Amino acid sequence: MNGFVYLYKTTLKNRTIKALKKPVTYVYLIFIGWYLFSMVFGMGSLLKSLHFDEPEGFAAALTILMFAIIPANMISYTKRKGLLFRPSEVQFVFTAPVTPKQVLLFAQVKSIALGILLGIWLVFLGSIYCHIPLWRMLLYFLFSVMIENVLEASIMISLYGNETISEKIIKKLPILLYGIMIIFVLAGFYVVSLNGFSISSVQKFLSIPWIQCVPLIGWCIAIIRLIIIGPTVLNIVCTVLYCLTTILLTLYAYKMKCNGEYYEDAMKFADDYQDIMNKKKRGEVGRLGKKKKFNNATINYKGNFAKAIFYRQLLEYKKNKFFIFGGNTLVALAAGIGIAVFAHYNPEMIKVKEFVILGVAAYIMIIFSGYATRWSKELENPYTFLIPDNPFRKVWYATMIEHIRAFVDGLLITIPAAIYLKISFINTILIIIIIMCLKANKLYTEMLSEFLVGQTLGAFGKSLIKLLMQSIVIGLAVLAAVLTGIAMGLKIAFFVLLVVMLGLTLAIAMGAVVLFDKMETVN
Amino acid sequence: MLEVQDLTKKYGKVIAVDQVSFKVPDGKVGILLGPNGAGKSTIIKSIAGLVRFKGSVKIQDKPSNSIEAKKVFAYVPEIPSMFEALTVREHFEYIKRAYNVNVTDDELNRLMERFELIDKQDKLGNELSKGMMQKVSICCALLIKPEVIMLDEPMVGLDPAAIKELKIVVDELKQSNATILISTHMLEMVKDLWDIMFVMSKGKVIGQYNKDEVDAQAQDIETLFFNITGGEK
Repeated sequence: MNGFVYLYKTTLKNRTIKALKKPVTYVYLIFIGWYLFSMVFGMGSLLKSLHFDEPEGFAAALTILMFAIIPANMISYTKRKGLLFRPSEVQFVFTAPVTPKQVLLFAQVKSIALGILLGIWLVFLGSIYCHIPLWRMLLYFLFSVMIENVLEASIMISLYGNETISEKIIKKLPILLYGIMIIFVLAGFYVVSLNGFSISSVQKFLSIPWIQCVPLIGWCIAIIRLIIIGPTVLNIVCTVLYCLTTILLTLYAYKMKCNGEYYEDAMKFADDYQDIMNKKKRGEVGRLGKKKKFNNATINYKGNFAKAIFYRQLLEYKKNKFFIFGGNTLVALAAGIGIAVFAHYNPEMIKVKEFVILGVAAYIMIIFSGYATRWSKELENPYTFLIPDNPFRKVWYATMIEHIRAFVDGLLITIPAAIYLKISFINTILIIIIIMCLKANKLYTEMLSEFLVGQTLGAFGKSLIKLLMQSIVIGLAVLAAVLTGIAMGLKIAFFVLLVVMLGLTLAIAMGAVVLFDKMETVN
Repeated sequence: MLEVQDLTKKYGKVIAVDQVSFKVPDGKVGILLGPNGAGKSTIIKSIAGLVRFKGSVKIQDKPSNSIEAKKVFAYVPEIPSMFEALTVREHFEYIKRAYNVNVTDDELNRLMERFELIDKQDKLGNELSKGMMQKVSICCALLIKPEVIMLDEPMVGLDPAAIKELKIVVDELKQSNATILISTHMLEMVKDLWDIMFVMSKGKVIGQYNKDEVDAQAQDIETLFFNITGGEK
């Protein structure tokens, strides 16, 4: 354990020193400070408007929190997930002369700091805004930091490290827990619908005594109610049950056989998690769980040199379950339908219908601007640079499929809205072209930002610069359109928007081609 | 001594290691050879206690998952992983505390000098190259003063000077009566080191040889390996 203490202390010290040396830390601190400041001043009125500004309301809010957190944690432990291990810990902690249970506790302690921060935040909220005496909130804090964590650790060891109860039985536990959660939600809907949908009827449901009778989750809520509101026969009985359960589970966890069979699962989780962290650093989306499956597919290469990049990408997409379609396709379709629905209820927007579609498309693009494209993956591939062809052809063929995808997204976002809003065929085509330009800007600014700050500012800085460049392009095009609109009317403004956007996109693309020759591979 | 008895490991329905048994006595260097996918890494991970398996693994006559066994056992994985926020020296400090071993600063400095880590001692784990990580990983294992040490492809990523030093270290460990098991593909690198060779194929040990016998027959390790595995690489 001496080694673990050293590990915690040194890691915390070094991380703090390293963070203080990075300018981005101060940017984060400003954001967090601003967020906390606005929370402090906005929370009071928010809680008041929701009628949560009294002890009963506070207890109701914690009831929801408990029903969300406790079953979710237990489910993840039964699947041997929910504890964060790193490959370095597999090498240096799993093999160290400590018991596997101590290794589990080592992992749990890493997450306690977050729990303490949440506890402090709740003490602040409860005592300031919900008019709960400070001593009660401090008592709650002690309970949440000490007893709750003891029970959590016991449950975690009993489930994650269990080697005696058969896997079949352990795997049935999530079904039970999901069942409890579903019953809780359905009962909530039923009770609330009987009393009419309002915050007060939600609160009434959350105060129903039988909720406190649900083993563990309900008993935990009973203690919270005992501390925050005061004693009742029910919450005292449930508190006793909670304490007894904590003692029994702690004894069980202490006595239980655990030889480290979970190491195999934890090691796999550590590798998967590391993969996700690496992807995140590159701006890609990672998902824990099963590995992506690919279909069998073939491709007939109809060209050589840079054209081969396009056909290779096409082959990769053909192996995808949904070809070139993905989450962004659904977002585009939902946005298109959403605009039509919105127009139905807000007929005044018809005057600027083309601009609304473009505004929504630009907004979606900015929201997702942080995510990497397939093009950014190409920049990591040395063959993108090694293939003997000129930069223009390489950039064109490496991004061609992304333009096709942009066209499809443009169609999906435009067609439903265009049909409902009766936009002319020509204008529909022009809107799609502008959307393609917006997406092309994303591709090429990716490259510019990589070239300019990729080696110095890292992924976060690169995203900021990319966002800034995209915003400038959109801003310039909009400015030109607005000025034209004021002087010459909306129809010409729309045309000017198209011309400026096309011009800027071509300029950025040419810039990207020139820089491509001078770039280094990303990795 | 390292003793593996009837070790079987399945991944789903695939048998990765099938009833493997072998022994490496004190003061001997065992090498585990075999083509890719033969099951070497699975055996190594099983001995290190990182995967579930059937059978038994004993380190100095104690079950490999016991605290007593872990205290005298060191493991150098094929792919080293460092604590991102710990410097090289802090890695060594962690090992000293985790294993409660008494290593003086002089000893530590000598070890770092041998593997040319002195000027890297204040570098963080995530600032090291793969080769440097491998050197730190080896040094961490040596700090334990192990009675049994297992090295999985230890020479991959090392520069020639470090490979030479590692060979000297292995010889010193052998002289101090430690048990050494090395899994490798690099036959050339281990040809002067080994005492017992275990050749694996398709999850089984298909041959076990002592160096004295092989030397007596004037056979060379490479020819022997290819003869047994039927030319598999």
